[in-house]
Amino acid sequence: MPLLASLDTEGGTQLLQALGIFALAGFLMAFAVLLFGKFLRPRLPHPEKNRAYECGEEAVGTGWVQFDLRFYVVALVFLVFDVEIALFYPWAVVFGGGGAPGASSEVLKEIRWAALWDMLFFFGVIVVGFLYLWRFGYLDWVRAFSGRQQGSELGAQDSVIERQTKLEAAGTASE
Amino acid sequence: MTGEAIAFYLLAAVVTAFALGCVLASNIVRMALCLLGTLGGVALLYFLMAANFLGAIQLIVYAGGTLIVIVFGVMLTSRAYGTKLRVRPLEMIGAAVVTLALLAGLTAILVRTAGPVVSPSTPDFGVAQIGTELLSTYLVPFEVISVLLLAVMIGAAYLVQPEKK
Repeated sequence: MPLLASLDTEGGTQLLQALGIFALAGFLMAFAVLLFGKFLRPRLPHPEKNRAYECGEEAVGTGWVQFDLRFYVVALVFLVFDVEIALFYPWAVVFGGGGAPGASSEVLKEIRWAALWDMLFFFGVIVVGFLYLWRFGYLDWVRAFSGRQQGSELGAQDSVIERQTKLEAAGTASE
Repeated sequence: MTGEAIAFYLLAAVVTAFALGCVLASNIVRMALCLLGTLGGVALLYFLMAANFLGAIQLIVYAGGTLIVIVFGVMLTSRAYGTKLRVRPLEMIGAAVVTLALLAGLTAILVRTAGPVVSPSTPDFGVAQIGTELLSTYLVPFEVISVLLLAVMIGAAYLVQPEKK
């Protein structure tokens, strides 16, 4: 690959040139389509056309609302595994033998076992956190409303059902 | 001026402009967007230095992950939208002190290590070397990272816990 070969000698200029050409071409492509459409399409402005389109429904209120707090856990878990993937990559190269080119198969085997144990420990610690979130329902989508005062979601649900049956029983008794 | 120098000054200008926008904007969503521009521009600077792995990490973790958390943090805070963020004079002084200290430190490092500009000394210093160092010399920090990530997850669980009555 000529691009990667020239990288070593010229810093990242070649790569940056390629990125620049890519970005420029991408911009021009989108821009050209929009420009082309501007010349071709009829121009019939109408206030209705400037309104937000939401599946044909009338838009209510503002889009700037507070999101559910449950998204935050998902975002943070995503970040954790994002970092993890970033660290996995160099590990995978070493595991594939890229760290010791030309090594004998015995040495390679040793490297692989060492790398495997290193990664298993690393991954194990993260998985503990993930299992914690999973086990105690932080990843459940319907948990937040039932609350944790009852100790568990099941307990909260039970109490609701119990209350309902009690209400029903009271209703039948009064009839 | 070489192509590399032109690319550097161009990118540096873009990064600086976005950083200024991030600081000067009063709308928190615009701040986050400017931060995206800054982080992406820094990633391109890494690419320019042929530090491809670092650039990719910068894009994946900072421009991708951290920014998402920030934007989510904004969306999750109910009153973050309407309020204009204003800086009080005392905060301005504190920020100035911190920034000037950072600038002085960076300048000191730059002056101390100033010399002939060298291209990456070992051209083949890539992901494989990073991985080897990570699994040999820096094994303990590498494993400590996992504990740090564990702490992040526990912290996330703590944050969304309903308030105890």
